[in-house]
Order: sequence, then structure tokens, then C-alpha cells
Amino acid sequence: MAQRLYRFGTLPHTPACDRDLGPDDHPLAVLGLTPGSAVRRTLEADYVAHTLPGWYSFTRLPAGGPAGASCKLYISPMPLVLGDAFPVVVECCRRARVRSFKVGRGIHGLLRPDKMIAYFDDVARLRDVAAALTHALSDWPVHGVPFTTDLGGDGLVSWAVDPQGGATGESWRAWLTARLAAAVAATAETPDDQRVERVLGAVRRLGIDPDTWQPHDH
Amino acid sequence: MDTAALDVTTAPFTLPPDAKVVAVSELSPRLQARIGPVQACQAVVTRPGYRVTTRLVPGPFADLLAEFRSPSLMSDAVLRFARAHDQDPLDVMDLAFDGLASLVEARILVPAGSPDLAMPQPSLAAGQACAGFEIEALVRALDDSEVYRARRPDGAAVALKVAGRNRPHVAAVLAHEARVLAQLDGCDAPRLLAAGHDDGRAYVAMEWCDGDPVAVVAQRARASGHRRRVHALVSQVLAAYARLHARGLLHGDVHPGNCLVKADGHVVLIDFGNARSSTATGGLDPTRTGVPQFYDPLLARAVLARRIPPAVDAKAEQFSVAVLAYLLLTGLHPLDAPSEQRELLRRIVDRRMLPFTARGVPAWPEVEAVLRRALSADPAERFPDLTLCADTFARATVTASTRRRGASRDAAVKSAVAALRIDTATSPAWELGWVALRAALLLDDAELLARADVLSSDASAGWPGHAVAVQVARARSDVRLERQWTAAFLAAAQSAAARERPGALLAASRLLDGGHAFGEAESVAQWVRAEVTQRLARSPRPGGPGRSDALTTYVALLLTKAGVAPLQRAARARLERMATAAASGHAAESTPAGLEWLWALAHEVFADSRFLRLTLATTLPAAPLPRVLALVRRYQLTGNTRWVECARRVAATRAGLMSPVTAALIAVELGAPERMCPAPHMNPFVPEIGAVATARRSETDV
Repeated sequence: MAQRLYRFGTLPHTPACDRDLGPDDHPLAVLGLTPGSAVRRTLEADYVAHTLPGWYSFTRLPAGGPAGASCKLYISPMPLVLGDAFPVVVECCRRARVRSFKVGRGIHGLLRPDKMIAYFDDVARLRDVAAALTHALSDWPVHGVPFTTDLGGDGLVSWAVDPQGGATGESWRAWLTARLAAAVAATAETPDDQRVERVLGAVRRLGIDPDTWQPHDH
Repeated sequence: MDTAALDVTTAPFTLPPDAKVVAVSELSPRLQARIGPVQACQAVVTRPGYRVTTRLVPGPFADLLAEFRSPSLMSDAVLRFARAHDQDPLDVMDLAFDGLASLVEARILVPAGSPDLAMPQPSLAAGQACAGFEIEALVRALDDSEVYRARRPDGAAVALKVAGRNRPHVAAVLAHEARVLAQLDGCDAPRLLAAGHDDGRAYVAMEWCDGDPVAVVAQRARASGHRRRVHALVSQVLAAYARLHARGLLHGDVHPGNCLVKADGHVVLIDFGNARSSTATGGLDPTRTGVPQFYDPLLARAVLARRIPPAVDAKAEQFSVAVLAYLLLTGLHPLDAPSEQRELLRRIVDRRMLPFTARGVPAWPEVEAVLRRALSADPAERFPDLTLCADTFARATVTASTRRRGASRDAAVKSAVAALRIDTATSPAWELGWVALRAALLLDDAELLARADVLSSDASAGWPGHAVAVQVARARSDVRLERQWTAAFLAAAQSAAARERPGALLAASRLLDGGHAFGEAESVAQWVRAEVTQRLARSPRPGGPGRSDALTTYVALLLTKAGVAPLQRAARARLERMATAAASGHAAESTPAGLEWLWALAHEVFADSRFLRLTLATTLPAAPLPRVLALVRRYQLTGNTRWVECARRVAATRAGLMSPVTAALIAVELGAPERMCPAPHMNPFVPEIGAVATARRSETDV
């Protein structure tokens, strides 16, 4: 259940995805990350790239000091506009000197809702970049990341903070969906018409507003 | 090293460390499907960084190659191999010599101690000077040449091609390219800056064109769903080649890697090493080369026959440019090209362009008509020149988008599917799950996909439900669940009652097309192969082919299409018997239902127009769902939109006769008819398809 909730929002993988985004690692091309491309040159100038399972990660050079609270900005356009959106995101992150960001690797990585995540040490800078991205990517089709707090009104950019500043290695969405699943399971004997309210009540007791997915202490 | 001067009987050979020999069974399902049905023991041999095409070799030959991992005389290697496999060394040498010689020629097998043993390494470092330019970065290194990004003294970027040492043929190619670039003077090509020799190595320097490969730009344009964007790009590409021809030049090596798109949208052609004058028509060209996927039929035929190929001419290049255009428009080759080169060449010779709908791409009649003409087998039937081809293409009508069918229709489909309520008396949950899945795929809708997941996740659903669950897991990119449901499906299918077994077999063969390669899938493949072999061993049904023959042959063809198994001779014989009977009008006592599906699949596998004619001649089923699906299948095979119009009429006029589930499924499939596929549990070889009750219906003659 937790895994299903975590994966909720993933778009279907169709034959058209293979054809139009490219199989395996070919989505690199759609993102403009092929060797010699303008986006890649921009990134190579200011960031060091790492290939991680499921992700391409970019860390600003020189690597900064110890990270503060792991504030995450989710940027979630629909995959069909990624070719145009990703260079804009890269340019925005470069200008704002974002310390690191990552993009989903392979087709599955681009079909998941949280396909692009930028990391910040403080919420104020996160909000500045979110505002710039909302302006730069306005009117583009939005995918939207479940269980995160919307920043622009349409789901294109949203945010969250990992539990305990990311010290546990557990992401906000994984942490929350595990608790949501437990709450759903705990209501197995509850009449159907009361289950949703019971689960939402459990979320509130965690200190989270289930309408905005924002913790009360934020 | 000049391998022609070698005495292969006395020189030890070795397989370089970077040469890869990979069993076909270890390749991804996508590559296996591209290679086509081959024996699992076959292997592919390749060498990155060398101008060699990946080759498919038999399994025993791959074992023989392993004998060259350390230097060995050919005779010694053959002797060791023969002893280990209990074979006559002379027979082995007879069988293997041509293959070994071709690998020596391709420098996959190289003389021990030869410089060819090493992987190609860049000879110039960043900051080093060459021919008055400062090297900045290596762009590409091959065994015989290197391409660098460099800087002029004034800081302008330069593309610098440098020949390898002792590569006189490359030096000649670079000198030729310099002459061509000088002639083009920057028109649709990089401007020539300098050419000559530096430190004994030939070079050519040209303006650096900051652009993306055309395949990348096309991929982005397709992903955006805007056909205008793709059409504009391909129009530019065609126009660039047309202008080249108009200037009296042929490129000679058309493929997407030789075409860049600058940031301002201008197309630039590069790599003119094989260019030649378009006025020098006729004759043979022993040096003619290129990427096999872009060969024209005459070149493919010559290579297949090991003859010296004809020199490239404008009509041949028109064909290659049209292949490129088709690839950019659809992301696919016009011929369902397999990776195995000889089969690819055979298809270029024998087969013609597939309609877009046969590749799951919406029909684009005017554009397809242009490509079909440019891709004619007979050069005389192509456009008189590329300019006319490009102009005709540019004038073709462009529909706005490949994705947006209209918001109102999308909303109608979504609400029809969302309104479906579980009523296990009429439709089990997983059947609604299938409709939700198809709708999710049509609308790119994550919520519908989640709904399909919930509806199909019933451990007690039996093989039809598990088959749907496998497809849902696949669409969710959830490999763990795909494996879990595949195992559950197989267990249920193997224990299915005899009357349900054919339907389960059909579902299994459908699951094998497009899945991931894991143990559970291989177990399904083994089961299907064994069942098909067993069924084919039975005597044909007296009185003419029945459902069993049709279904078994259909499953065997599905295995071939999915690259799981080559078509068994017995299956081909049954297919031919049925086709002959159907063509002569001597139908069996009771003609099996669903034969149009068999003929359609046979047409896909063999590209034989006889099967297409049979498909179109088959009487359409009476029930609404089978009738609509049969009509849509005709659209997929022909690209003729009138079949979809017919299907829409059927859906409209029979709406009152359909259950909500059937009506919703038809609405979904008609939303993107080029992508329609039958549900895994649907068995067209029984008179009615669609419901599990039908899939499980007694099939007395199966």
C-alpha cells in the first residue's frame, strides 16, 4: 500500500513513450543532455554530474559546506514538454546558484511525478526559485507531485522538507506514504463511509494539513 | 596494418579486450525483438569505436571466438574447439573460415601485437596546437580518424578532423571533403576554414556548427505532440538535401548523425567524405559505404549478393533521405528493421514502407503518400528529383497534434470509464481494470492507471485477471509487480481446465510481446513454446482447419513477432494450408471465427500482400465489439481512415446493444485506433469475444 501510494501519479508507460522519449537512457536526448549539447555544456561549466540509480544528479562546483535542512523543490511539468522545460530549469538553477538538483533517469524517471527536484538550505531561497520557475514555465502542462505543498497554484512547483532534515535518509514522500498506508490499514474494520475521514484524522494527528500536505510547524 | 598481406595460416590472431561477444539471450527484450526470431544460443559480436557493424553469429561460432581471447593460430583455435566439441577439425575449419575472415577484415579479430589491438585513443590533448588551432575537446575518436572541437587564434570555434597516422585512405577522404566544402561555401554545410597536413597527418578544419543532432530535435518535437513542429523540421531536412542535389552534389552517407539543427532552426549537413557529383551517373562504386538502415534496395541487393554496389545516384539518395524523414517523423524505421544485417537488407529489397498506423502512429495520409513514392522499390517510380519531393512534402496538410484528440472526447471517455461500477455478475473487476488501463494509456492519465491497478489486483482472479494485472504493472513501470503477476499468471494458466487452455495460451503469447526479460517471463515462454510444439505435432483436423489450427498458428506467429521463437515449419505449413483454402473459397466445414486476426498477424510478420488481401476479404463479425476491433485492425494495416469511420458508425448505431463495459472499451480504442490492441484474455477464435464467460467458453474442437 505504501509503495502504491508513493508511486501514485506515475504516468503510464506507453509504446509512444519509447518512440517519442526514446528507450533506456535515450531520454537524455529529450532533456538535451547528449554530449556537446548546449544544456550539457552549461551544466558542465558549473555542476558536476553523478549517475545514480533512477536519477541524474547535478552538484554545484565547488561543493558547498554542510547542507542545512533538506528543503526540496519539486518541478513537475508533463513529460511531453520536458525537452523545452528542462533547459529553462537548468538555466534557472544556474542563475540562482542552486546547490544541487536531480532529474529522473530513463523513461520511468521522467514519468514519475517528482521527476525534477532541486535542493535548498533554506525555504526563502526555495521560494525565490519557485517564483522564477513559475514565471518562466507559465502555461505549460502540469503533472503535479502528490503529497507535497503546492507553491504556484497549479502544481507545477511544490515543496517539502525531508524528515529530520534528511538525516535519516528517508524522503518526505516515502515517510508520509508509509504513515498514510498504516492509517489506511488501521481502518480496515471501519465502515466505508467513515474510513477517509479517519485516515485524514490520522494525518492531522501527525501535524500535517491533509489539504495542503504542509506540516503545521512550517 | 594491411591485413590483406597477412598469411592467416601463420599469423596468430586475438580478440581485443574491448570486443564484445554477447549472447542474444542476454540482450534486452527490445533489442531481442529488433533482432527478430533467432536461436537463443546465437550471439552478437561488436567492437565499440571501430567502423564495424554489430554482427549476429551462431552460438558455436561465438565459442570458437572465445578461443582467441589469448593469441592463437586459427588452426590451433579450430583444433581446440573441435576437440572440445567432438567434431572434425577440417569440417569446423570449412564451416568457420569465411566467418573468421570477415572478422579479420572488420578488425574484430586482429593479429597479435597489432596496433589495432588497442582501443582508439585520442592523439591530441586539450590545449595542444594542431594546424594552427588550439585543441579544446575530443568530439569523436574512431580507429582511423578523430574529430576535435578546437579554437582559432581569434577564439572562434572550429571542428577539426584529423586522420590517423598511416591512414592514406582517410587522408584522401578528408582532401575530398575539403573540396566539397569549398564548393558548398557554407550553404547548408559548415564553411571550410583550412585543409592540409600537420606533422604528417591530414586534416580539414571547418566552421563549428553549434547544433543538436536532428534525431534529438525530432525526438523532442515528437514528444511535444505537435505535428507542425515535426513537419517543419523534416521539411527543412528535405529542403537541405534538395538544395545539395540542385548544386550537383550527392551526400553519399545519409543518416541522422550527419544532420545537425542549429539553435535558430537551420539544418546543417555534415560529413561530406563520401559526397560525389550527381552528374557522374551510373557505374559501380566499390568504396560505397553507409549505414545499412539507409541503404536503397539496389545497394542492399548488391551487398547481399556480395557484388560491387552501384554508385550512388540522386534516386538512390532520395530513398535514403526518405528513410531518414520517416524515422524523424515516427521514431521508427519504415520497415520494422531487425538488427541482424542480412535480414535487414533482405527486407529493404523485398518489403515496402509500412503505413504509420502499423507502427502505432496516427495516420498522416498526405505525408505518407510522399514518403511511399520516394521509397518506391523501382527508382523510376520515385520523384524525378528531390526538390519536387521536398516541395510536395512541405505542402502536405498538417494536423495540429498527435496527442490531443479533442478535450470533449477525452472527457467523454474518462467519464464513461469512471462511471463503470463493479458488478461481478456481469463483469469481473479485472475486466473493468482492462478498460481503465486502456483509458489510462489513451489519456496519459495517472489516476485511471491507479484505478486499473486497484481493479486488477485480485489474487483470486485466475489467469485472465492476472494477465491484465501484468499489463497494468508494465504500464506502471513496476517490475517487481510485473514479475509477481507473471508468476501468478503462469501458475493459473498451467492449471487451467482443458477448455480454458487455448485462451490462456493466447494470453501468454500476448504477454511475451514487450515485457521485461526476467525468469518468470522465460518460464512463460518455455511453457508456450512447449504447448505450441505439442499442438503442432497433432494431426490436422479432418474436414479442414478449425479453431485449434487457427489459434495454434496465431500463437506461433505471435512468438515470432515477439522475437521469442522462430516460426516452426509445421506452423508455416498450417498457415499456408489455411490461406490456400481461404483464397480458393474452399472454406472448412465450419470456418473458424477470428481468421482476420490470423491473416493480419501473418501480414505483419511476412509483409506478404496475400495475407492483407485475405484480411480485407474476411467477413466481418456481427457482434459490435469484435466488429469494431476488426475494422480498426484493418485501419492499422492499411492506414486507410475509412475503416475507422466505419468502426465509429458501428459504435454509434449499436450503442444500445452494448453493455457499459463494451461501450467504454470501444470508446477508448476508437480514441487512438492506431494503438488498439486486444485484451490479453480476448480469444477471437471463438464466435464472440470480450467477456470472460466467452474466454472460458467450451471450445470443443480446440
